[in-house]
Amino acid sequence: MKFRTIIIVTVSYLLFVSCGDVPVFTEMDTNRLKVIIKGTFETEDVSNFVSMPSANSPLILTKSIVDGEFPASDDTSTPIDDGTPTTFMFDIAELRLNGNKFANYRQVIEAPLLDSESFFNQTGIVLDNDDPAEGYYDTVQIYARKMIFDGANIYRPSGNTFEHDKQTQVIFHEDYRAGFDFNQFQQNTYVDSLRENSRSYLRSFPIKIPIIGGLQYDKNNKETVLEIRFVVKNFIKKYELPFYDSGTFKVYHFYALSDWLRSAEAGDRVFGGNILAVARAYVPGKTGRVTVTGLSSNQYVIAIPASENIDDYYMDRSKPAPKDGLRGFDYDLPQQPVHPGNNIEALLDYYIKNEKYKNDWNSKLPAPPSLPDTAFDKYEEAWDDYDDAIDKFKIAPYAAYTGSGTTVTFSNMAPGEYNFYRANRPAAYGKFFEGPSSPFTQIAISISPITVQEKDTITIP
Amino acid sequence: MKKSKIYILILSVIFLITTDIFAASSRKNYYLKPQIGAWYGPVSPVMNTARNLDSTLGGGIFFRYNLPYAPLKIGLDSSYQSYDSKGVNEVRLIPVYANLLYLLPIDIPLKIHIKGGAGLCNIHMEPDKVKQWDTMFMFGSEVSFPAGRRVNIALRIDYLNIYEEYKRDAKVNGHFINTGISLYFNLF
Repeated sequence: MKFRTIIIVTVSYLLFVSCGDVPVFTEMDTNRLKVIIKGTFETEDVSNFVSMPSANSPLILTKSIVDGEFPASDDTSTPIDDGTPTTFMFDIAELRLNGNKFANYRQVIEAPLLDSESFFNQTGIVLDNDDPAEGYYDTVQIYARKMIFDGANIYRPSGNTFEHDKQTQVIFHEDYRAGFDFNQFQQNTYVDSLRENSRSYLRSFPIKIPIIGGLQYDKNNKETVLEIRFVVKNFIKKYELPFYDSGTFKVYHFYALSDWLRSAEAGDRVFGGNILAVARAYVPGKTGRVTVTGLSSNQYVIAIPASENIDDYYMDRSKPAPKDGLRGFDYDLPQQPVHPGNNIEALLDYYIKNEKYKNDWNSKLPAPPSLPDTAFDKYEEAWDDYDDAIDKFKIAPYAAYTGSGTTVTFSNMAPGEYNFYRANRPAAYGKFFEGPSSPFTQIAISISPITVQEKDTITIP
Repeated sequence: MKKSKIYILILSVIFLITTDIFAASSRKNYYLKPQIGAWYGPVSPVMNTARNLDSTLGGGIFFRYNLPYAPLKIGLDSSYQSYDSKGVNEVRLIPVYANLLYLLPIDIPLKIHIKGGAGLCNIHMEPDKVKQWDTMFMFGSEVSFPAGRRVNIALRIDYLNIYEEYKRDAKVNGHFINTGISLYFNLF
């Protein structure tokens, strides 16, 4: 009888004790957070692809990574037609919000460079996720495995010029593809290579993207959208990288994202710090719709939270100390040539280059006692100052292009106070808006900041 | 040397326990004893739950007691099952339930039981940090045979339904299959 009593009491307790109210298995089976990624600068009213300024960039023997300006001016060799890239391939290992795991799915994007592609128009591509825990998040991190453009080639010397060797091959999504993975060069040019941890220092792992306005994730909302804009469209340049293939000097020509923010110069072998992305969040049904009228064709309109400073949304080129991007300032250090392996001709060439490197080094950093104690410190400080200046640069959470029209519409603006600005012309190819004076003019100053509330429909002016 | 002597001693005891000498008289009645045991084996999410969680290994303990009607026994089961997923979700289940076991009247050396029951399941889900008790139901089957006067061996397969559809915004329940090999002992 004793056992029976125990069992009956236990069963009764188990059946009638109160239960939790979270439907755990429904939570796992459904998504409340929708993550969308777009390859455009614009939120809506996206601009079309424009032709790259020149597909026929000449080879330049004296530069390691050629700054992808088109056309290059200091040509010493025969122009070679590399063609233009047709596809962007993006291999994402995982996403995190403020460092918290919520989407550790490997996801690959293969987007033809066409205006009709979801990745390059305002539709975007949906990324899988498991929903984060409730809370506030202000950054999203993308852990990128590979970033690839096709259209990359290898050239080998032939007399005084170069001839085509072969197309480059890369493994993308477990498959051999024509292309070049430029994700491997995401260190800050030169200065990162001097760091003790340079070999494991990859700035795109993760790519840290600010969520302007923040993401307040609340499970009471049936859907929340996190939109990431990872700028690829009209932000592509060609680069050149020399290497030794079994002792034979060869060069890669490949395409990658523009080095507009941190310019890669001759001698550089990396070009990190140039990935530009932004994110915003909104709850469908709890947004306002804002139309800006009275504009001209080919104008840009951006909207930023009223608490933000417009000076952070364009690049003031006069402030960073190093000229023309990063290089050329005092204590800018020469770079050692790459060891070519055991081929005797390549080795002799290397030794000559290495002697020049040592000479350049000594002229920059003379031997004690004339060596300034603070040479390296100043070098580091100059880079840090430059980084501080350009780290402030952000992409507007809302951006639209008039194209041939005179109005733009932001159909899903999260509630809040915003200031609207207009730029009278697009940035140059491969660049963003830059100063020294602001390229933006505020719209509707008299009624700014403009308050957007749920279900508002606002027309400016 | 000392360890091997201990092993030999343990093996000898097991051999003596499981020998037919003692089993002969008790075999036909072993089902009528209160029993306590443990099981271990693969546990798998099934149906819609399989989309979100991966199979793993789990194990549990149980206790069974006789009822006045001989083919029926009442049991109390609990187990530990920790599931990972391909994503970030992790779910740990501790089902605690009572069940009724019915011995099928088939006269073969193997005992075949069917069972059904209900109880509560402690769920801990990460990263959402959910910790709660949910109602659950189960049914299953078990095939057992004696391996001595005290020891029985069984193969079991159970279906567990974590019932959540009654909750607000809920659309699905949790579905799991537990399989395992059991070792249990006749008491008294």
